[in-house]
Amino acid sequence: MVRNDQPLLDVRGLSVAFRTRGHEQLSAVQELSVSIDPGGSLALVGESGSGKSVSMRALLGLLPANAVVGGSARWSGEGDVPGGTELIGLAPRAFRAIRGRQIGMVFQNAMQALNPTIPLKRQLTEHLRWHGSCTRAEAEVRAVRALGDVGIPDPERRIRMYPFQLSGGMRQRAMIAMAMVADPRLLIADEPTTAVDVTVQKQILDLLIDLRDRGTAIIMVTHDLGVARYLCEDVAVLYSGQVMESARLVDAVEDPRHPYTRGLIGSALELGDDSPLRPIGGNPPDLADRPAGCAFQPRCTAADGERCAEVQPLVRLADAREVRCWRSSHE
Amino acid sequence: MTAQHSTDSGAVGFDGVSEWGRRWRRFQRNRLALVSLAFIVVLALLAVFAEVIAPFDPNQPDFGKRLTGPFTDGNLLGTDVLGRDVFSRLLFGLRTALFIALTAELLALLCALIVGVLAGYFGGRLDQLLMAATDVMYAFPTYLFAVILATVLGRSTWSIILAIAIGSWLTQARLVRAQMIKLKTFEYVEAGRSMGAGAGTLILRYLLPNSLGPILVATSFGIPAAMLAESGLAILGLGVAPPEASLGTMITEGYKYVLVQPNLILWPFTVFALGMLAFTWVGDGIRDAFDPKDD
Amino acid sequence: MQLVVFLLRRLVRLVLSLLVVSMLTFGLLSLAPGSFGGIQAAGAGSTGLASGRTVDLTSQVQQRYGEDVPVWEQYGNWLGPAITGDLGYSYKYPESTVGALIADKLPVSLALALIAMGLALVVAIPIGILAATRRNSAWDHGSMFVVTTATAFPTYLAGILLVLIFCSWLHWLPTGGWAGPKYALLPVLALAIAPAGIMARYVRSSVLEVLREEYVVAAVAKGGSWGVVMRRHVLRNALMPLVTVAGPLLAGLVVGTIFIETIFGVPGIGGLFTQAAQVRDMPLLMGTTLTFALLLMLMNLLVDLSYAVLDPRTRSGLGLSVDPAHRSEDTTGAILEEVKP
Repeated sequence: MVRNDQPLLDVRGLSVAFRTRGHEQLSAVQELSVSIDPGGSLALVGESGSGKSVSMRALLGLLPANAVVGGSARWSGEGDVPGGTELIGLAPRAFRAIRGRQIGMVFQNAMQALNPTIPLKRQLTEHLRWHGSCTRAEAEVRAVRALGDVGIPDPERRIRMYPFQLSGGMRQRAMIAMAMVADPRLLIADEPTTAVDVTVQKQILDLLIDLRDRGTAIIMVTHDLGVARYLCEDVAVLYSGQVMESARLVDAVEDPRHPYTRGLIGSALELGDDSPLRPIGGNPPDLADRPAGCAFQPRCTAADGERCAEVQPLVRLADAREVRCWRSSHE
Repeated sequence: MTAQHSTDSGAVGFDGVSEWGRRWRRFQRNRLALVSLAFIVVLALLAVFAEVIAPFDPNQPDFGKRLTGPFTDGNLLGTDVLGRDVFSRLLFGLRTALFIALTAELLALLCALIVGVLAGYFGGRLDQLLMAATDVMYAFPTYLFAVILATVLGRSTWSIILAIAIGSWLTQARLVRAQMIKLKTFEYVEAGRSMGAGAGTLILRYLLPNSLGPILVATSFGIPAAMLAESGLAILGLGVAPPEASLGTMITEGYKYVLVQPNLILWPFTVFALGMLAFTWVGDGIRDAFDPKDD
Repeated sequence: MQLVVFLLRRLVRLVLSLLVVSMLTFGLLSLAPGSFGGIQAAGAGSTGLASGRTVDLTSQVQQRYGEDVPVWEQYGNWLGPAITGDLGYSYKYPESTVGALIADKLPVSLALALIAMGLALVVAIPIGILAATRRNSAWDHGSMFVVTTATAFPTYLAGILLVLIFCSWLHWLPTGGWAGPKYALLPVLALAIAPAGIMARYVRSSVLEVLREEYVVAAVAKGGSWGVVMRRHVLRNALMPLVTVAGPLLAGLVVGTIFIETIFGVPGIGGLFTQAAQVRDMPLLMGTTLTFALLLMLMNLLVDLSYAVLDPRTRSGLGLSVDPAHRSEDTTGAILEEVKP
């Protein structure tokens, strides 16, 4: 077991940029720092294009070749490597031992993330075989059990099916089973409930809660604070590739310090009080054309020209909160 | 990848002009396509001004100097088996080949547009008939059909054009039909309809302009296909009747003397092959300009 | 069960199509001025003395070839025996039946087309895969330039080019004839060049498309090495649709042998067709045309079936699935890309 004083995954100053045809770099993630403890649960919340998915893919080295990744991500899920393993720039062979086995990933759309021409059985067992952790027969037993664990009835029969033969909800569960069959320490769930309808959403969330309660750490990427609150202890709110606010989720929802967090709460269905929905006006900035100073400033209802035109540092407040807005330390 | 939901704004959208500008820029970025386009323009000019440029009457035999090599007695590219000037015949042959290919493709396109639009937009009996016809034509190789038609119609320029057009219009009609069916469910067409636009307006203002891309691409590949069909018929002995020259018949004639005087086939073949390549690359360029797969 | 229904439906369509093709061919040729009898009579008449004799001879010859009755009757007279497989005797080669002529020449053409297709596949697949995996590299640009050039040289253009290079210039190979493997080399190459180009491009774009799929990212995220992910997830799914292109291309190759056989003097069914068209040998022309049509349709059917076997999604569409409760909509129609020759 890992010592408890050390986070399971510690991301410091992660940055991702994409080289474009015109040789300029588009910065997608800037100075992202988050961490998660063993068995913890963290939500990365933000609108699409805020860099939440990109940063998680960068951690696992899943970005295309034109991505430039900087910063540090220390992984301490692997026995007793002192100080953990640095994921950024990790050699392919070492990375393969971590991907899938120690860190599992669940994608937004199971229809796209499951190979349509291969039966579930092979997709659920192949990585067990790649990692060399068990025999073919053992792998199959584990796969059937994993399918049963995610609540798929009659798993012995369904494991022989192709993805398209399952209903949408079952596909999504099967994908979670695919990630969980190798028993990872950390599960990264990238918008796992976005592509399914509301009734299935609830089931998937309950399933993830169940996993969390059994000790798997979960990072959930979502645009929906309501969904995040259902599952996660901590939250990092991302906007235009930067963390705007990070806090315990309860604190962030009950006492948001950043205007953007307030905006997100105001525009979420379940979170706000009885007051009408207040969507955030405008759109996130183009990555190639960020405003100087605070990135959120053009859409901010509380913007103040002078101070907001300066670059906003992430300010640490009491109770482990961090906010990227000069107002937060003045209120 | 990010622009998955981009609807083709064609000539209709607010930025209609800039969309065409973008396409032209994308086309220009493809150097090969640009050079090919220039080459085709040169070929077309040579064909149009054949009379002015040609130093000799292309069909005037001169039995005194048969099968001479290039640069002899003022015959730039030599003479053929009847002593006719190869360079002059090349110009007129190019003209015939381009005329046949362009006319056949335009004719096929016209039929395809009319039938495809009607079948795709209105559906019904005509549509069923079109689909049944394409089904049968799938079993009837275009070339076989063209050969039989050419046998039936004879060897005049127009009968060859007709044979090629009849052989190729169905596939294009199917393409237009598919475009119509796809586009007519789009929201801006629905919106236009709900605002009381008639079928004619919808087709002319919305559907056709927006299917211009695929149609243009099909045309740019249809012209070399028609050129190929012309020369193919010539090789089977069904090309334009002598003494008139076309690239196809010149290649066929030249092939008989390929070991004796390769010069005879070399020139028409080179012009033809380069023309085919140029059309292929221009077609490629147009396709990429309309449907950018990268970035 | 659904497979049987599918096959039956396709067979009915096949027979109907053959019938229409035969009517079209027969009708068109009857419309045309001139006939085999006429051509023969004209040939004989030119050596005859009086024009009166020519007319007489024409009607005699026409009677002999059954061309003196109305078109539909002629068609009926042809169709009756044809249904039982008897395509009649050739006019030009009166000593052999059309069936025997075709049976004699078809294997040569089929062998040429199949070998050319095999060659094209063997060349195209590795080129396409390498170009896709090294996208935008010098190899990618270079090979795609060559391959696009190849697509502009279908059958006889490639044939003439090869003759110019290997016969006229280098004097390595014979320009025509049919007496051993040496003579098959150029015809096969000529046939293979364009399909190889088309398929290499197809493989490249297909692999690129699959490489963008989320399930490839997912496989890497599961810890798969590049090679394993390529083999098990990318190549399998990228090469499957190649069947839909290769089928029609093969059909095109069979038709393409018409030109190749004319150029290289190969004794195949293509040459038979050309001769029949030139002298208006009706039974032979009908026989060869229908053979081509039948080959084309069988090829399409084979494509659909093999695709169904390869792709589980279509397999269930055809009713071959283990679990008939989950049938996707009919995808077979959508499979057939418009890569018609």
